[in-house]
Amino acid sequence: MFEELKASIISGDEQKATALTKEFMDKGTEPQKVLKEGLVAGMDVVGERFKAYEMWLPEVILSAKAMKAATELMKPYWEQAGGGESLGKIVIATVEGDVHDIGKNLVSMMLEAAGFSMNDLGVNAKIQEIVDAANKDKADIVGLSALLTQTMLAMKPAIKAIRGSGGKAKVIVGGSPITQEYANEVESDGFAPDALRAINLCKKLVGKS
Amino acid sequence: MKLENFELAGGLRKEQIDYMHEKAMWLIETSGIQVPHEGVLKLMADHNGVTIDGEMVRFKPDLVQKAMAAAVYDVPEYYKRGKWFMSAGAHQTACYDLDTGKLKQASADDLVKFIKLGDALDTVGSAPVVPMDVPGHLQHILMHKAAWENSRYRCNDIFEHMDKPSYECANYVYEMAQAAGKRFTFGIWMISPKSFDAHNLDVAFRLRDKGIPMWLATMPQAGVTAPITILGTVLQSMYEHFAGLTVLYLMNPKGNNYISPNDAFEANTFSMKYTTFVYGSVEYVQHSLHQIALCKYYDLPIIVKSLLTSSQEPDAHAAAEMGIHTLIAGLAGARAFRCGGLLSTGEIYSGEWVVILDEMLQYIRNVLKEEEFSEERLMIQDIIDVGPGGTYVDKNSTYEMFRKEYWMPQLFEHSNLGQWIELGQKSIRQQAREIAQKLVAEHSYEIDRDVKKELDRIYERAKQDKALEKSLKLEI
Repeated sequence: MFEELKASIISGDEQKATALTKEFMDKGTEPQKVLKEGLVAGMDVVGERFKAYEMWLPEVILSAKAMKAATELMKPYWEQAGGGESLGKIVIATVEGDVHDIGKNLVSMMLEAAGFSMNDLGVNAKIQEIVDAANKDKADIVGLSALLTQTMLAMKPAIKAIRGSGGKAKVIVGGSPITQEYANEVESDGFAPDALRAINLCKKLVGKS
Repeated sequence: MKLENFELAGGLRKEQIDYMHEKAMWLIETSGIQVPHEGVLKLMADHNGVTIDGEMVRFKPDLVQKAMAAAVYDVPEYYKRGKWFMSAGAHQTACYDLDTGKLKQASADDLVKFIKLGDALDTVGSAPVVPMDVPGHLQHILMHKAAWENSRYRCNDIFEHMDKPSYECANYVYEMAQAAGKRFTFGIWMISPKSFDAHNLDVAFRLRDKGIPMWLATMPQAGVTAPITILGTVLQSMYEHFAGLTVLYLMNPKGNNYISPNDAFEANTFSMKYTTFVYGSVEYVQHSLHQIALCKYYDLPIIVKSLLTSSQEPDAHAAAEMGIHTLIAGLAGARAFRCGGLLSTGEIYSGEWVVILDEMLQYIRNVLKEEEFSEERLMIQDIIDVGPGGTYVDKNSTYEMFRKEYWMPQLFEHSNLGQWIELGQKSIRQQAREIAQKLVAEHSYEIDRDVKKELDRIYERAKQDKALEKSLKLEI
């Protein structure tokens, strides 16, 4: 049945994924086991296929939605079992002055599906707002996104402020005009050119790759 | 008598555009757009034909038509003459170094070199690269300054689309434009679907008393911020363009407000495989044909993004996309082509690619050029004169016409293998780089010295301006 659940995630069949998850919960199966052997195992395949350019964005989004619906359904059981373990806490935002969020939303959704706890601050996020959220959440990682050459400039002071606030969060950057060179220049902890590579980067940064 | 011009048939018919126009008007009237700016909303509130519900604004078709009719498309002389030209560059942060050919982050030195190269090839448009070695708050000011100091056409007509990221930055650029006698415009980008960037709108709102030209652009992405079909995305683009223009018309009555021809009716394609914008694709070429039809219908200047490619290098991929796209656009009536020098969907700027594109444009222009049909050109007498075993090589007509009858390429040479080996076996890219280096070295245009001094003075002031620095959120 785990294989069936895994397959439902891969095919993005939300109805089937939630029905199977519910069945597991009703039977008293350990939520961790369902997550690991069914849902995450399915998303791992989706990730690999997306990375190999075999699965494309709309298919991946369907899988991520199915994963999200299934994990939402598991929440009450999870809490009963004493809580589950996420891969890490991530605060993500499009920097101040920038209202573009296609890439950021995709990264956020994929990271969540991969098992991270996400706090998505949306677009046009002020530096202080990002710092406050990172500290409040005790974030492991902060993700900063920008589409415009003029707004990516806000990354450097944001990184400085996050580091200066005493938090432990690593800061990663991404977006159309961002290059590895620029990521190094603003002293970020990492850069990824797409959502899948962002998952690998985040896993590496939290020591769970 | 001339031979009939080559032309492309097909595409959107007039009655189909009539229908799309009606639908765009209906969408504006019923669905509306979001205007996230209190001041702009207040300005529009009392106008006839405006309905405001929170931040959502709807316009009656009559008002939209008025805004469209009021737009003036102030095209330069070279456009009116039907000259084929290239607009080259648009805010790239990475480039291929003109000396080494290596990929790197763009610098102020690259900015000047690429502007000089573009000027030597008569290109127009925006500054080619962002000088990443210059503090952020000065980058856009320097891009305008360098363009005005080192080129004749750049950043100085309707084919520029330079950003002014803050009110303070816009004021410095405005002051420089006044000093240099250059054109100053401000652009509003709609954020698809159906909204604006509040900050961008705020800068326009604060500039409205200057009476400056303001343009409107939008870039809906098929399947992401617009419907998956190109036609659906084009319709959304029309809707956003017309509604956005109406906002400008009401907000900036002292200035000329127009749809930017650079991105008129833009409907971007998006790769679901690589999750990135796509240019040069089959569907993007189809979109360009729709765009040309719409520009003709609405009497807008036509400039097509046919020089842009998703290839990372100036290679066969890039050349195939550009060549096919530009030839088809040329057949459909375009004479102005945009995004010269851009590779990797606009992530990289390449001087070598600009030189290659110049050659390709000349090639296509010569394919489509007009030809006289006459008795002389049929050369009947020459055919009679030369008998079996004879030759035309020594004919007077051959001697007189051989240099001008055929287009002589500079890059796409017609040498044979032995000659090519003797000439050093150079790749096209290597040859293009050498030409680019030579053009930069020999470039001689300079702005008037007094004007240059004044621009330097304004720039020095900008360097010290803390409010300017703060305006770009560079301070915590």
